[in-house]
Amino acid sequence: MDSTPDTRPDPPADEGPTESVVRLDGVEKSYAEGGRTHTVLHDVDLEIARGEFVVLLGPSGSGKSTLLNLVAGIDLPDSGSIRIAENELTGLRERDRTLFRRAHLGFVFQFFNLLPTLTVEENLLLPVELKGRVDEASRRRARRLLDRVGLADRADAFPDRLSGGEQQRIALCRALVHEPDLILADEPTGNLDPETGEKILDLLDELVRADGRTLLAVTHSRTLAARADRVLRIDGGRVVEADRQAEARRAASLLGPTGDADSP
Amino acid sequence: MSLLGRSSRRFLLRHPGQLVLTVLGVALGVAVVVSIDLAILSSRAAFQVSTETVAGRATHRIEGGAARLPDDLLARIRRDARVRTSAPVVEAYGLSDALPGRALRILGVDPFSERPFRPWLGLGGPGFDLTALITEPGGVVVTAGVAEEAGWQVDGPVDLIVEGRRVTGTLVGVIDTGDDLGRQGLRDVLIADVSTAQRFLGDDGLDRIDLSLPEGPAGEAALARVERVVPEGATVSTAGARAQDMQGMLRAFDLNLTALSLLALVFGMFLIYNAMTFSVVQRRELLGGLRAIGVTRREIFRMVMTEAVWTGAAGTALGLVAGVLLGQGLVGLVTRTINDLYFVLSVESVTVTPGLLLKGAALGIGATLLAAIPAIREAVSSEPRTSMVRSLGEARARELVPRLGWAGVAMGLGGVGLLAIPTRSLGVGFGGLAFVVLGIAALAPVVTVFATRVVTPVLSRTVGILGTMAARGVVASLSRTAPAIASLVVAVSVTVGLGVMISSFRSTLVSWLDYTLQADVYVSPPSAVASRADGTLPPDLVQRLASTPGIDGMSTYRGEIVPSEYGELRIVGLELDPRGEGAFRFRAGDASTAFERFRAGEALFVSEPFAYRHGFEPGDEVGIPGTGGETLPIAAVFTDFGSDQGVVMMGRTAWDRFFDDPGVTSLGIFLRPDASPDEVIARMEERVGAGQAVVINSNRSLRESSLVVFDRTFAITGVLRALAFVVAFIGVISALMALQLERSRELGVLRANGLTPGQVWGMVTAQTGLMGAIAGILAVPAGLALAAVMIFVVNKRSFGWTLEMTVGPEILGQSVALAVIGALAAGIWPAWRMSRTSPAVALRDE
Repeated sequence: MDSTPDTRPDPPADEGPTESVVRLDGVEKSYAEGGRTHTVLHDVDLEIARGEFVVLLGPSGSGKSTLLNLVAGIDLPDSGSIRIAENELTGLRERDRTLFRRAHLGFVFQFFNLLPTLTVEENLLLPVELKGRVDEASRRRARRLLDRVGLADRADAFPDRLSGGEQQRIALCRALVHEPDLILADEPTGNLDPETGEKILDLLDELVRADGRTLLAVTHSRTLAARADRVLRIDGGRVVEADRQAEARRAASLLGPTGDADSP
Repeated sequence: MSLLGRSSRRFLLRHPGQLVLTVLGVALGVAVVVSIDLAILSSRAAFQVSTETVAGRATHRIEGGAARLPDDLLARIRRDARVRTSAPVVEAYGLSDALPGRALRILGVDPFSERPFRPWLGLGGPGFDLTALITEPGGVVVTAGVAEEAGWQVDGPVDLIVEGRRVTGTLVGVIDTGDDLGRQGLRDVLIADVSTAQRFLGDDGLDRIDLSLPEGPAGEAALARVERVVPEGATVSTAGARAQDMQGMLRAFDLNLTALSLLALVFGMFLIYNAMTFSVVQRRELLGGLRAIGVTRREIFRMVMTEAVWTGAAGTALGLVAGVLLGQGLVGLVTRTINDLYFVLSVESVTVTPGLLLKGAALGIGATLLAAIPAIREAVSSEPRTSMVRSLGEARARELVPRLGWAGVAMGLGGVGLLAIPTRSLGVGFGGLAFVVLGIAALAPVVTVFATRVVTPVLSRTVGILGTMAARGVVASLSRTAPAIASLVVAVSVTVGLGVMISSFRSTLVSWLDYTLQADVYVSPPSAVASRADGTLPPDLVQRLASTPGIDGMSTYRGEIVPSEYGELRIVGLELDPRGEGAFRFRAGDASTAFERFRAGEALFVSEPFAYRHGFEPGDEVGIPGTGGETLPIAAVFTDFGSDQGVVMMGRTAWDRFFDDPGVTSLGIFLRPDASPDEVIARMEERVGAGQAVVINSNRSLRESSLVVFDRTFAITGVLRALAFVVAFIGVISALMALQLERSRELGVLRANGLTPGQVWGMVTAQTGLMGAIAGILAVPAGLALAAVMIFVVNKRSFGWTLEMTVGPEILGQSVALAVIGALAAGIWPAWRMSRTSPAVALRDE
């Protein structure tokens, strides 16, 4: 396992304007808590270009998941604009945001969230079916993905027969199978042992980059940060650019091979 | 099938316990409703078939009321009114030792006039000749089934007891209508010639004349001619009117049964609610995940709705089958009650109609969907989150507590408001009752929170940390525990309420019998309907009995059921011994002058149900049926539980003035103070001739047999009460099971930390016991409220009588004990399962 994963070049600073998949402008979000208002995100501006691999770090309660929910259209900001793949989410009704998610987003959850009552292959085909019709091409794509994650022989198994790592590999395939514009990952290795987690990150890296997909991952894990094109951090409700290489070095110096320390 | 559909189907099949409970909830609810419906429908259908078969194709009927129609009226109808298609009928009930427990409807007809009316009379078996009814003295015919059951042979004797007289006829043939309907209609009919029937009755005259009038102006003209010919007091009515009157008698009885059966469905709904909600709660995280990946609320709705529809359909199908089977048993209980209280009815088979099955199906599916609404709402409102913890749902449930409490208060007040509306509508009464009970059930969460707050420190001190956990666990899972407690409250309060109502009714009846049965010995002919005497005691027998040594005096009673402007009415002519005055407790009227006016034939006594039903008060004039418009004022309204249709009583003087009917139906005999009732009864029995059948009862035995009839009529209520409780009980088991399954991880942690299976058992049991105690305490006021409404509103509006509510101190204990035992019993299985679950399994991620 590579414990110093700073192998990625920084994105070229002088490249021309790239198409942005995610664009947040002046996003504010606060919650009422026992009669008091707690501002979680304050004047957040964020842009993620197509094909970018972005990691968002931050301590528990800093607003990482809130930001992820806003980008997914699961939640709405109090003010500001959120554009994902040219769609302004703040103007959409709940149903339209749901339809938007099924068409444009792929999810990788910490607890996998596979349907226990569907087989591995059926779990993969669910986003395809939701998006449209399951045809032979989508079946082939699903099988190809299963093959790439080494689980082609488990297509007919139910998730409860698989290990955590295997389940997360299936979840990765599920996030990719319908070819979304953006993949959102919420602590994708948070529920796995370090070794399995590392393998999952290898796969995530490989699959996302191979297809040129855009990924926004929310995590505590600096190992994941070390693989990113760009690392962001939430600080006092604002999203700030973090030094990717510094984060990678900190990851390497921390205890454990993955450096999954909970402190930022 | 879509992947979501496939996933949902597999989920149901992977949780067979939950699936079975849901299906069972629907099935039991539907089965009870269908079985009661079936029993009611079958008894009504049997009534209709027998009425129609006996009435045949008659369009109208002339009836005499208390006085019978003169024999020569038929000739006048044919000659003066020029209605040739007319047939005389003599009708009575006969008992036979060969057919114990059954009454035969004796139909005396004129075979030559019958063909246009009852063509089945011509359908005799081989060698059967209708004219034999005339040529053979005492000739009778019955269906082959009755003959076989009674062991009667053609040309052999048929022994009967008709209005207390032992008579013998000859079976001259058997009828075979060739179809089931006819056989059912004639199941308890014995046909004789008019003169034979009159001989059996020991009385001339006709009970009615059937007419077949054409439709249109010709029929109207014929009817007008008939009305000119009929004597004063006789009535001409359409053939269906009488049957409608008789059906009307059963309306309140039917409605009460239906209301009780719907209760079982309500409990079934709780079961469905619980199982469906649990299945959604189990999948909260999953549903949140689905919402995140783009499954719309509508798709989630469709998924859970489809589950509800399928489980509802499976439960309904099972319930329909079980209902038909259960109905076969209940129809006997319903028929027996009708026979005891209203009229003679025999039901051979249950009548399953498509309408009945459709109604059952609609109720089953409808109830399932209604009960599934909270689960569906819960599922649809699943937020698209990556993870969600149950405590959020519980926090939401706790936020609802005050609102539910206020809703409970509002519902309770609404129910009281509905009950206070001055109407006689039973529907409004039941509506009010439902609101009151639901209001109390809605208070369950508030009371649960309050009670656990009180109990927690006590348990903490006595049992320790486990006691605290048990108590707090009840509030921590309020969304599961509160419905379980509410359901237990409703089940126990219904049991308590019905128990209080029945015991109040019984004690009212006992005290009513105490003062109503003033005489020492009662004499009456054997009766076809248990709750009243009918028939006639021969005058010479009355005289012989009256002169028995030891007798000091007697009251005579003459009762007839007649059609009247007030519907089927029991009118009574009473010659009242002064010692019998204590039998009357007046609810209205001037007691000081009432008896004087009554004896003088100047005024009537009417029973409370009659006065209530028709809005009569003392001083109001009541039309005397069969007298052509005579009226008498009401002197007093008396308490009576003998007939819910009502009784109009007049002094014998008035009876003899209005009717040419010197007969006596029963006697109330007063003995000398030194006479022994048993000895006098023995002497009286010696004086009864061989040709007579009379029932001589001491005061005590009549009271006892009255209470036997009472208990019998409440048997079906008892069965329904038990069924409703069983459904509620299964509901509570399922709720507790769901609760404990949800806590399996928590219990797994405790087990891993060294809690023994016995301690797990103790904690779960303490928790269910606490829930039972809360339910029991709430069920006391709920049960009493329920009893009060049933006693003062439902019974009054259904039957017109006022009962005294008597509540023993044991009710409180019974109610709490029932709830605690019920909850503990329901908790046994969950406790056993949880105590046996390995900590490793419980801790494993799902």
